[in-house]
Amino acid sequence: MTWMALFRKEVRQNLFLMGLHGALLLAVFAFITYHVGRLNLSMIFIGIPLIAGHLIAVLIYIVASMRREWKERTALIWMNLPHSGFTLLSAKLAAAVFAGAMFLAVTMVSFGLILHTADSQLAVFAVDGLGELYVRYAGWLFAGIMFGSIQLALAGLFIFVINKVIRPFGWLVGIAVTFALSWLWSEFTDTQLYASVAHWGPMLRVEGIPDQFNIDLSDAHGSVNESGQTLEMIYLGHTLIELGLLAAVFYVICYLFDKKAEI
Amino acid sequence: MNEPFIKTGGLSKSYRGKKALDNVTVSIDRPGITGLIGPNGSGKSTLLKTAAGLLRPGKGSVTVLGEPVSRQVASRVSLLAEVDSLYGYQTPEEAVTFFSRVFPDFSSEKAASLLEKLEIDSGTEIKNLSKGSRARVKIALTLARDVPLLLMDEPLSGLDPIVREEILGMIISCIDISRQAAVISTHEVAEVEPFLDHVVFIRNGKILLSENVEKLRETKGKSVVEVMREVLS
Repeated sequence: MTWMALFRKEVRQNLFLMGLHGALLLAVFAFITYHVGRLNLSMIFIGIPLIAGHLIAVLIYIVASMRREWKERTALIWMNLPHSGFTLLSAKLAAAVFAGAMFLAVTMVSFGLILHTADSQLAVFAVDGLGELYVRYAGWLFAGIMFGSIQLALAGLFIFVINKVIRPFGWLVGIAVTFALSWLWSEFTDTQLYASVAHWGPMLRVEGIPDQFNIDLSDAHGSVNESGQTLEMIYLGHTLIELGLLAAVFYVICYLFDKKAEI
Repeated sequence: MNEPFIKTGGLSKSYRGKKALDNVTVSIDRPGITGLIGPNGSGKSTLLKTAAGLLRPGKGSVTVLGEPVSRQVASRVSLLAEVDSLYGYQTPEEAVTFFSRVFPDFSSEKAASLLEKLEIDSGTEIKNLSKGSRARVKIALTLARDVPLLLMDEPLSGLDPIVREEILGMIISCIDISRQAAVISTHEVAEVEPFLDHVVFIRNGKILLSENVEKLRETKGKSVVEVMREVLS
């Protein structure tokens, strides 16, 4: 009940930002639809950065939510709630993920509908079949963007909380630590040791992507066949390790919030 | 033996090199109302926020009911901040519902009764209420929690005399002085003096005097206001 009350509060407080988000999407899709209707098909591709832009959606919602508590001084109530940091921060994170996921889904469905409408005409750009490919990988695209979005949101949350632990310039320390740890993790995931531990349970195979989309998978973590073609790029092992890592980072943030953060 | 409600030992706290609390050692051992008295900027708010677990001690220690403070001391401490800290989008009625869900020790009935007594329009968003009404809502919600320790930071600040009297009456009537300790910070002593059991004088982050009010009157033969003038001058 407590968690739901907090979650509802967060959603209620996010409504203004959600309204802006929705208005922005509406305006962009109205623009795209207008141009597609006039056979200016290149405008469809505005939808791609629009979808990719949702990588930062959860980050924006969570940081705005935290900032609001301090700006409006409600942190004096919020931090005085007799509940664990996990309860308070998970309600905030869930509300941010809810908003980010909802608008990403709306964006992707809208983009899909426009692609479906214009798919046959897209042959002009030698990308016919894009609609079919989009539908085939839409679930993965959604999951990938949300996963990345949550990672960025946790990085933002960590930096925000560190800024309430170390004063002054805690945010600078937070950014430095985040970049350093991300770099170290990225280096580690490129090692043979990591590959031997994490590269099992292939989940996504991409050999079927037509050549004309020119997707460069050379940096992806995957198996390569005899002709150098990447066959697999997402492993269950790697995904589980990253999920575990996210949980550990969230635990650290909650610990800092409970034991070290100041008003 | 009962643990002190608040006990600090050599507590210091600085903000960017400026000392807000300087080697503060004080103990509030008994239930009742304590006046934390000092001029603006003397460290009253810092001391209360530290006791509420919202600020970390720089040096020294702070315990509440025997346990070192952290944010989670909130289950035993209700903090009334000096500034508006309620969620402005909520109506008082929604705030009561929200508080009842997030504070296990919160009495909706008590809060509703206090708001009714104070003639607060429960259907208006808090951000649209007058300053006096917002202060009343804030105090009603704080007092509706049943916790051993209430920390009230300048509850009468910026209010007109009639509202101040009303709010003070409400605070006094809601505190169970047989088991609860309330610390009220103020720099205007005359109004609260009749209700105080204990006083702590603070200036420049240092405790100048911490004494039982009765004892103070007996030993010094002076009122709290007179002692304040003597100590803080």
